Amino acid sequence: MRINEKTGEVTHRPTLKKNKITRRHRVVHERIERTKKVDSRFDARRSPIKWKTFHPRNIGVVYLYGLIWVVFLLWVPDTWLTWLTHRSVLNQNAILVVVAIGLLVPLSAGVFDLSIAGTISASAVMAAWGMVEQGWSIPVAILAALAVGVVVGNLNGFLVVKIRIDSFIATLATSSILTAFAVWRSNNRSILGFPDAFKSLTTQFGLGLNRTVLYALVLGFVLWFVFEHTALGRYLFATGGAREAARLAGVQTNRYIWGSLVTSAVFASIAGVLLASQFGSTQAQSGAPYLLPSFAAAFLGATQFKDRFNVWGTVLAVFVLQSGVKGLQLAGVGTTWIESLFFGIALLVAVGFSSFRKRVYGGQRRWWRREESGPEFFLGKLLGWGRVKGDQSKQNAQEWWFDPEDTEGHHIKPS
Amino acid sequence: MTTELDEREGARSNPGPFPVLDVVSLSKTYPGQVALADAELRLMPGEVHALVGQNGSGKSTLIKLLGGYVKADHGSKVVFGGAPVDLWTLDRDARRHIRIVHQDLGLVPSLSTVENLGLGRGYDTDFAGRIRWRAEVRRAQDLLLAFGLAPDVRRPVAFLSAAERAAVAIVRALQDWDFDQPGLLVLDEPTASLNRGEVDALFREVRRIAELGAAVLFVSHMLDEVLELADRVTVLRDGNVVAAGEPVKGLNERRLVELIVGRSVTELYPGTDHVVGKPVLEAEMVFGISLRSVSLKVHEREVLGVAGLVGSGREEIAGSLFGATPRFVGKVLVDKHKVFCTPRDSIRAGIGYVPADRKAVGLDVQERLHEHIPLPRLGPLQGRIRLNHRAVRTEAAEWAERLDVQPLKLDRKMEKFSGGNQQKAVLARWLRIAPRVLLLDEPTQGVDVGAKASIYRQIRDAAADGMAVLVASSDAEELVHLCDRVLVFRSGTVAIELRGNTLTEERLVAETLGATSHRKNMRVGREPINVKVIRDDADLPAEVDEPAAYVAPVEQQATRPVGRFGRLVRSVTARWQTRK
Repeated sequence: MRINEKTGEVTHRPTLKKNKITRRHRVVHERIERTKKVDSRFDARRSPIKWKTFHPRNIGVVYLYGLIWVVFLLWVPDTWLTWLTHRSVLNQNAILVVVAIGLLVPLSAGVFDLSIAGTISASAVMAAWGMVEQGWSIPVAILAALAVGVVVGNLNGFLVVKIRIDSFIATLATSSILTAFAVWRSNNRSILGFPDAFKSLTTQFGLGLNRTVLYALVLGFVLWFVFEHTALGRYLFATGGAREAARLAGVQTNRYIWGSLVTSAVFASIAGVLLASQFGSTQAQSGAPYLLPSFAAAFLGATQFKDRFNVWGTVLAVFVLQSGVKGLQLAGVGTTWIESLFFGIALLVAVGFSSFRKRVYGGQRRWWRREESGPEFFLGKLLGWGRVKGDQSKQNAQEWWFDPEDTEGHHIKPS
Repeated sequence: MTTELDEREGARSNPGPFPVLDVVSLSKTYPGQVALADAELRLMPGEVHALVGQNGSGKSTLIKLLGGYVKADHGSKVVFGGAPVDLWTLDRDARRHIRIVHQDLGLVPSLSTVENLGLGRGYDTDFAGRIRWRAEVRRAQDLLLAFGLAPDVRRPVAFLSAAERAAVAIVRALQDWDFDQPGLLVLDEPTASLNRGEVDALFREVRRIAELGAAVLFVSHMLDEVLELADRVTVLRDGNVVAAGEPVKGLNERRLVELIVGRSVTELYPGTDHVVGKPVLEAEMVFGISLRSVSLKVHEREVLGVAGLVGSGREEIAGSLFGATPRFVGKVLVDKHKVFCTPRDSIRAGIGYVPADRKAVGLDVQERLHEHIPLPRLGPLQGRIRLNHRAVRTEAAEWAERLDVQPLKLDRKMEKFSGGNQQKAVLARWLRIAPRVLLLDEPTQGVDVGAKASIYRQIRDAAADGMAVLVASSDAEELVHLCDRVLVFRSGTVAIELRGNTLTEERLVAETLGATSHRKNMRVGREPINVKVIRDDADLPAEVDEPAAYVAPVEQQATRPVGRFGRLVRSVTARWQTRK
C-alpha cells in the first residue's frame, strides 16, 4: 500500500496479477486514482516472457534430448526412428523412476537414504520366497514385501531421529543388513517360477508400453501433488532447507524426517515387487544397480525447472539419459559400460553448471557472468524492453551513498 | 588548528620512533550501513593500546580490516612498518608481523594442542618428514608453562578448559615472534574466559612483548583491565572514533563509560507512553544451560528489555522461553496456561520468537519470500485438498507490504534480500500469526538504520495493539529507548530491574559491565587488583549509602565486595539520587 504523505490518502493498492504467458502471479501496485503523473522514464518495464525459463541452465536436459535426437538421427537413423527403441527406454526405466522419485522425499527433507538398493532386493526376495517356497497367495506376498519396506523405513527413522546417527551411516548399515537378509532368504540363488498372475502385474497395456510406466506416472503424479500443492510439501522442503529454522517455525522436523524415510523405503519395496514381476525371477543382488542411477537422477533433476528436488525434473532426467545410453548402445558403442559413463558425465556437467552460476562471490565480475549478458538483455535492447537509460545519475542522486562533491567518480554503489 | 597541525607535522619529522601501524584513515561501508567511518589509530612500538566501544561500534570491523578479511573502502590510508600498505593485499611476509587472537580463538577442536600450535608454523621434522613429536610436545609444554598452565598437550583441544584453550590460542599467536622487526599483536577479548591468575600471566606476557618493541592492540569490554594494562585508549562509537589515543593516565572508568555511550539519537525511536495491562507471559524459576532461576513477567502492551554481557543468560532467555533451547526446571505460563518446552506448543500458545542468528536459525536462505512468511501457520491457507496458492501469495504480499520489505518480490530467495529486509520478513512471519507474546533476540543485529526505525515502529505498534514484547539486546541505547522496563542479567539470573527514571543508558551500561568485575571478584583464588587507583572523581563522596530508590537484594549487598568499580557505581547512583 502506498500512502500519499501529504494528504494521507491511499494512492496505490497491492494486488496480484497473473501474467498470461508465464502464468505467474506478481505483486502490482494498482493505482487507485491518478493523483500524480508518473515519469515514464522511471517505468521499469519487464519483458513479457521470462527468458530464464528457456535458459539451458533451467531446462538443459530438454536441449540435451534435442541434441541426442539430432546425433542419433544422423548416426543410426534406421533403428532410432522406430517406436520400439523409445518404448523400450520407457519400459526398462520405469522401475528406476519409481525408486528415484521415492528417494526425492528424504533428500528434500535433508537426509540420505542409501538403503533403497537393499530394500529393493529384500522386498523382491520376500515376495518371491513367499510365493514360491511358502505358497502364499499373491496379495499376501505383495503385502509382505511392502511390510519389509515399512519395517526398514521405521528402522531408519528410529536410527536417524531417535538415536541420532547420521542418515548416511545409518542407512548404509541397514542396507548391509538387508543384503544379508536377502541372501539368507534366497540361499544366494535365483528364485524362479512365479505364478502367471503375478507376472501379469507388469504386462503391456497398449502401444507396447509396460504397466510399470503407468505405475511410475501415477506415483509421480501423487508425489508431485504432495510436493507442490500441500502444506506437507512445504514442511518437507523447510526441514531440508534449514532444519533448526523449520523447527523454530513450529514444523515437527523429526516427524517429517522419519516419515520421509518410511516413504522412500515403501517406494523401494514397490519397485522390488515390480522388479520381481517384470523379470520373472529374483536374486539377492537385484536392487544394487539402482542405487547410483537413482541418486544421479535425483540430483540432476534438482537442477531442472526449479532450484530444488522435483519430480518431473527427475523423471525427465532418467528418460533423457537413458535415451542417450540407448542410442549409443544401438550404435554399438560400449554396450556394457556406457550407461555408467553417461550418467556420471551428465551429472557432473549439470550440477557443475548450476553451482557455477551460484558462485556470486570470489573472482571478478567478468562480462559473461553479468546478468546483463544474458539473452534477455540483448533481445530486450533489440525490442526496446527494460529501463530507459540515461537517467541513472539522477536516480543515484537520491541514494544515501551518493556524494555530490565527489568529482573523481567514487560515488559508485557499494557492492 | 594550525598549531595542532604543526605539532603533528613536527611529530612526523622527528627522528624518534615511528609508529608500527599508523591508520591515517580507514573506512568500511556495508550495503546500507557504515561500519567504520574514517577511523584513525596510531600504534607506537612498545605501547599497549586499548580499543573499546559498545557492540556494533566498529571494533570487530576494524579487526577484520587489520586481518585482511574484508576490503576497506576506497581512499583508506594505512601505514605499516613505515610504508603505506593495502591491508587487503598484504603479502605473507608482512602478514606475519600482524598477529591476531580472535575472540573465538580459531583453534581446531579435534586436534591436540601440539597439532594446533603447529598449524600455521609448521612442525619440527626429521629426515623422513616424520614429525618429532617428543620435541614438539616439550616445546608446547614449555610455552604453556609460561602461563602457569600444564594441560595435557596431546589431548584434543575440545577437552581443555576454556582458560586453557584461550592460553593455547594466545601462545600460538606469540610463538616464534620476530623481535627484529616491529610487529603488531591484536588481542580480541582475550580475558573473557580467564581467571585472575591467568589474566595476570597474560598481562605479564603482553607487557614483555610490548617492552621488546611490539605494539599491542587490546580489545576488551572489561574497563578495569583496560585501565590496568593499556597505555592509551581509542574509543569507537557507531563507527566513529570519539577518542583517538587518549592517555589512560587522565581517565577513569566513569569517563570511559561516558565516552563509550555518548549522546544518543532519540528520533529513531517512537514514543512510549501507554498503559500497561495484565501479565501475559509468566516465567517461574526457569533454569537453562546458562540460566539460573529466572522469574519474570511480561505484561500486555509492554516492551520488556533484557540486557547483559555475553554469557549472562541474555542470549538464552528468549530461546528458552520459546522452547528453542531446553529448560531444565521451571515453568512458563501464557495467560495462566502452562506451555511445554517445544516451539510447536509455544506457537500454539501464542508465542512468537525472532532468533538472533538470522541466517542459521531465523530463516532458510534458500526459500522464497512467499514460502517464508506463511510457514508457521499454513492451516488457514489450506483449501479442501490442496494449498490455496493464491491465498498464500496474497497473504505473504500483504504482510511483506505491511512490514515494507524491499523489493517486494515474492519469488526472490531470502538470501538475496539485505539484512534489514530479511529481518523485516522474519518479523512479518511472526506478526502474521498474531501472537500474544513476541520474543525478540537481537532484533536489529546487522540491520541498517532505515530498517531499524521501521522495526522499532512495528514493535511499538504491536505492543500498542495489546501484545507483550520481550527484547533481548546487547545494544543499550536500543533498550533504553524502546523498552518500558529492562532486566539486567548477570551470571544467568536477573540482577536488577531498571524502569522509569532509573532507566538511562549510563546506568544500564554500568549495571551490565558491573557484572564482570562483580563476577571476577567472586572467583576462587582471586587476588585484589594491584594497580594504582587514579581518582579524579574527588567531587563525589567516595562512600555513600545505597540510595533508597533501588535497594539491591540484601544478600547481594552482603556478598558484593566494594571494589573500585563498585564504588564508582555507587557514586554515580548517588549523584542521580541527589539530582532527583
